[in-house]
This record gives sequence, structure tokens and C-alpha cells, in this order.
Amino acid sequence: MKTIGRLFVIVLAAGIVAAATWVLVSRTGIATALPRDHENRPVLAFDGARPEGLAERRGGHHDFEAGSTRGWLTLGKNVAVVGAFSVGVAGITVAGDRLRRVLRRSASVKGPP
Amino acid sequence: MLTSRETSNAVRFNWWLDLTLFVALMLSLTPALTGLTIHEWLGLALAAGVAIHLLLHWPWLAAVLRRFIGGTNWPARFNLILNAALFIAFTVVVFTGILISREALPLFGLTFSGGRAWESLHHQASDLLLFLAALHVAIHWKWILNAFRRYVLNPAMNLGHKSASATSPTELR
Repeated sequence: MKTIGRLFVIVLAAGIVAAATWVLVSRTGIATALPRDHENRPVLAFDGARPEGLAERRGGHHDFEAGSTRGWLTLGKNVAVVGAFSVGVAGITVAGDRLRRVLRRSASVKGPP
Repeated sequence: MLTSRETSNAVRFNWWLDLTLFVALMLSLTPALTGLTIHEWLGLALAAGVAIHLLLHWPWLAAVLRRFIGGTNWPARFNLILNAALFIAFTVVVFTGILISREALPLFGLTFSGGRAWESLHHQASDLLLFLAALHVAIHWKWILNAFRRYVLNPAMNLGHKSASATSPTELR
């Protein structure tokens, strides 16, 4: 019973986010102020890409070929991003710990009488 | 009150679930590798997996939410904000994915007229999701490594030792 209640809260939160996204994109001026493609549909081109260039740049939805070289390269890139973040955060944590230890040690050293 | 055996079983289950979610996320973020059909079904399965992940971490979530304003430290607060951002990005990806679905939902007779705007938002949100997920993994890196050592590496090495000792010359004799 408790689990169902918690699941309900999770689904409710997801529903709120989805509804907010819907309102933001469809009902407000965001969608209407967007550049239009050749069929007069709004395009979210955050990076200034031309609407007709988007599908081509992204590979489009129609040319997803399972097991393609591009797919393997993207997977490698994604794993590399996660790896780089993990190594970076671990490095910062270790450096922070060392710095804290050095500062604590230098604070405990008594100065000349 | 959980016994230590129950706790370790729960941690082990958490670890394997998290690994499965990570692999599923990496694969679902590369539709060029999986193809569109697997991409869509994997995304929907991932939503169910994330719900289980949240249910398993509910006690932590509830505790930090309760103490968010005054009674908790900054790392926990930052973690909660990151997790909230991750949840929002994931929900946007799944929601926009449903709107532009061409393989999974049409099977149930559901078709939405999701245009390029939704498609583009799906791409942008999934890019953001990758970075947030990477940060999420990075923050829990120590736990991931410790759990890997304790529940995967050590048992595997013990198994190797046992089988080696079982076939040792003294035993064979």
C-alpha cells in the first residue's frame, strides 16, 4: 500500500513536469515565437541551426540504422562524457581533501615563541 | 529493522539495478546504434526502471526533502537539487519521446502529432540528461566502486580461490 502511494507521488510529479512542458511549449508564446520549418511548424533551434538543417545534422529520424559506426561512436562519446565527469569529480574531491588536510596541519603548527 | 544480511542484499540489488539503468540509458541515448524500435521500447522500460530506483531510495529522498530548508548539509542539498533536475530532464525526454513516437505507441493505436518542436526538445533534453546523469554517477562514484568491490569483485575472487582449492593436488589425492 505504501509502495503504491509512493509510486502515485512519482507519477504525479512526472505528470506535473509533463504538463508544465506542454504548457510551456504549446500554449505560451515560446512555440509561436520559434523559427518555422517549410511546413510552418515551430522549430526549437537553440543553437541557431537552420530549421531545415536540423534533421540532417541530427541524422534525422528515418536513417537510424541499428549497429552503425555512427552509433558506436556516439555510445563511445557518451561513455567518455560520464567517465570524464567521474574522474573530474573524483580528482576535485581528492584535491579538496588534501588541501583541507594541509590547511589543518599548518593551522596546528605552532609559530615561533 | 533490517538485518545486516537483508541490508547487504538490498545494496547488492540496488547496485545491479543501477548498472542496468546506466547501460539502458547509454543505449537509449544512441538510437543510431539500437535503431528506432529498440530506442523507443528501451526508453519506456527505462521509465519503469527509474520509478523502481526512486522507490528504493525513497527513505533518503523523504528525509532530505523534510530537512531541506534547515537541517541538512550542503552536499545532500546539492544532491537533491541535481536529482530533481535529473528527474525533470528525464521526464521531459520520455514525454517528448512519447509525443514523437513512431514505433512503440502506434502499436497501441496511439499517434500524436508531435512536430519538429517536440523532436528538437527531445534532443536538447536528452543531451542535458546525459550531463546530469554523468554528474549523478560522478557524485556516487565512491559508493559504486565500493559496492563493486564488495558485491562483485570479492565474491568472484573468493569463488576463484574456492574452485582452485577444490582442485588442488592435496584434494585430488
